[in-house]
Amino acid sequence: MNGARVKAADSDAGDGELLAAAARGDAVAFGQIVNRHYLPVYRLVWRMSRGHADSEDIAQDAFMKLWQNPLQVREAGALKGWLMRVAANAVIDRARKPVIGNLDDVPEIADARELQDAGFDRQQAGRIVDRAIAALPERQRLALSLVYYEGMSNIDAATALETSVEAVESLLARARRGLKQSLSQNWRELLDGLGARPM
Amino acid sequence: MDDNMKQRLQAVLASYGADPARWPKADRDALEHFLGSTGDDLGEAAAIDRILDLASAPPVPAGLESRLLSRLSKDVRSTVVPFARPAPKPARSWPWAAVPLAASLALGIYLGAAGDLDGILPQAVTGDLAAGDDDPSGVDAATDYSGDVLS
Repeated sequence: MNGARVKAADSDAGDGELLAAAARGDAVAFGQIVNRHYLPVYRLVWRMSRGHADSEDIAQDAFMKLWQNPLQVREAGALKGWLMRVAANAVIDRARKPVIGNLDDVPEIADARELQDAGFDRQQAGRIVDRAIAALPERQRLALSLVYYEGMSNIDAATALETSVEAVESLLARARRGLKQSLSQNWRELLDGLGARPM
Repeated sequence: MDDNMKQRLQAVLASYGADPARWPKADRDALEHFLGSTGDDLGEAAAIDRILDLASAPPVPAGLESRLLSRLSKDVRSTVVPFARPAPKPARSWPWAAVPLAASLALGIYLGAAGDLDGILPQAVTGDLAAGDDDPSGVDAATDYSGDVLS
């Protein structure tokens, strides 16, 4: 990493200290940022891109962008939100481009008709829910991913979404309502199926 | 529980679900005690939570972080190299010398345009010219002095 061999960053250092060290070329400090935030970013990209094969590349690109200029993150406390936003925007940009690829790139998501077969299992149910989540509008899906799945606070999610806390709450409520509506035909089966097959 | 708190609890359940651990802290402190009185709202929020929990967990490929770190190690950060600041030039004095020259020129142009040199310059310099004398050479004036006797 730029040939830098500098002092190891303190493992308890805050994001601000790590960013400042990374800006000076401290590869170890940047490695700690990666260690701290890479998995949540990857998971977000995976959910936002519906498990696309490029998920890893997109998540990596967010960190490459940060590495190029760590000080572009104005508030160190918002680093995670910044990374999430950059990655989510990359997913959205990519989704809007004309699809060039092959069918192998398309994740396998189950159709709700699978539920007509009484023998569905949790994996099938999961793919059906994945499909319903994937059909949500982008910002609703992003809010749900950040708050429900990644456990971000409403304030951090609002920062990542560049909106207000009230708007985040609205997105979440609409996402949940939309999910229930889209799965309404199979709602009872999904819940009963879960009850019949304790996890 | 007043109406405002009831409305807020409904909104929190609709946005964050039935688990108070997912609620904003301020709401958790204020509303958690009233969960038992929400009835259908709590049941619906819990059901949606259960459905959301069915979603597939993203598979984390082995070596995910190491591949990123490897890519970073190959990247040469495109640092911004500022242009070298030019060495300060030695102070030059000629611009200052030009100031009085320019001022003189400007004054000359002004006075010339005003046509009012008589009041400023000595009569010996401007007298005949200013009076519209026909002999700008001044020879006649010299003749007038020819009879003078120097003592």
